[in-house]
Amino acid sequence: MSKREHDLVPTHRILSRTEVNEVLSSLGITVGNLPEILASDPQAKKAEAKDGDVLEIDREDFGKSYKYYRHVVER
Amino acid sequence: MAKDHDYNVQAGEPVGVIAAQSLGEPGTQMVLRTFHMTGMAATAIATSGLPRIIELLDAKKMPSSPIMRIYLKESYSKNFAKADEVAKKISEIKMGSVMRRIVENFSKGKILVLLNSQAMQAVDLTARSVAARLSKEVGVTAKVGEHGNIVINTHTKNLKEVRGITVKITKAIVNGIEGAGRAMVVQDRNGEFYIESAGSNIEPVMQVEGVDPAKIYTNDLFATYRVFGIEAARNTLALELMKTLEDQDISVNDRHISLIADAMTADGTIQSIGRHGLVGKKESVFAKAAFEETVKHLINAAAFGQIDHMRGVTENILVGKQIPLGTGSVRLAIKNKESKKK
Repeated sequence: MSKREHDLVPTHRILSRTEVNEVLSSLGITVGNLPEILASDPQAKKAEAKDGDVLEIDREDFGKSYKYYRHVVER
Repeated sequence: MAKDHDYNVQAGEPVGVIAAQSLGEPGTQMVLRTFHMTGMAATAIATSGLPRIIELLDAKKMPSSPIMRIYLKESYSKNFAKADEVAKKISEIKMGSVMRRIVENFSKGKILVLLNSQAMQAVDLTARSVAARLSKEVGVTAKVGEHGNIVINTHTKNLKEVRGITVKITKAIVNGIEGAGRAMVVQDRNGEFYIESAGSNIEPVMQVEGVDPAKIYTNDLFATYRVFGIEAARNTLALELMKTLEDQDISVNDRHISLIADAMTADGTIQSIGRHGLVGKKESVFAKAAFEETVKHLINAAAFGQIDHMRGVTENILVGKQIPLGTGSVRLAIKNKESKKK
């Protein structure tokens, strides 16, 4: 059974290089400005994300759905 | 007609300050004391009101009253008897609560445990199951003796060791999962059964037959963080804040709650708000010095030759400059032909 299927866990997806650039330029920020997620995080591991990747998170927050981004860091 | 973007915040709006005020003002109206309600299920004992809010914002490693809501797989959730069976597997019972007396025989190295048959019946335990669990937990040979008492052979005649084992036995868990607390079956509005427990230890509970691991809920942020990751912890944090406020009939817009939860989880871990967490991570020397431990920060900064970029609010107020918020955040505005086309 996949842990990602928990009600509280949104889907995490690794963005490709081009997608990352699109997102960053549309927001007018650099990777360093994004919120972070540890590479050791259970969901980052599940998505097989590596240091430096950007994860797109499909959030469902108080009934509003939007995308959130987290920069994968190793610490 | 108001359009969607009319509700977006303007650039330079101090959303963090507004969030802090939006939560701070209702906080003054909240109950300062943890109070108990009578005649309700296990959850009613939960810390509520301001103490709980503080606990959440301080990112305490363990809530002072942990709780689990355990939802069951379909075949279990419709049937009380089956749900109760699961609850009995989870419900944590300590030896101390089902025994009457414990007698040590130091010369033989044996310990006699007199069980409280009423208490045993109330929680559906048999002497045999207790003995089996004791043997496993404490690592001794426990057998059911006459009159349904439990006889334990410690294999040692050392006084200290025997006494040590006695203490271990009184504290041993004879049923259920460690830390899970008292678990009870509760029926929701749709007539489905789920389990509420007054403790939290989700990892082993998820493995229990019949439990739906995709729905298990705990108010223990760090357990959620360990098992499901930072996003789930953020959601729990936001939900717990919202629920605590709503329980006191205080309505705070969910944007503020979301922002606080996002700020606390922005670096991939759960950070507290305050000196040890968010404020402590502030870059500016002046901002840190203005908050607490002024001299320590200034001396450190001087010794290491730190640079203050004067980008925050506090440090700019301190030196009498305009703060970089609202209209103050704009340095130079250029009419750009390209941006007009968009």
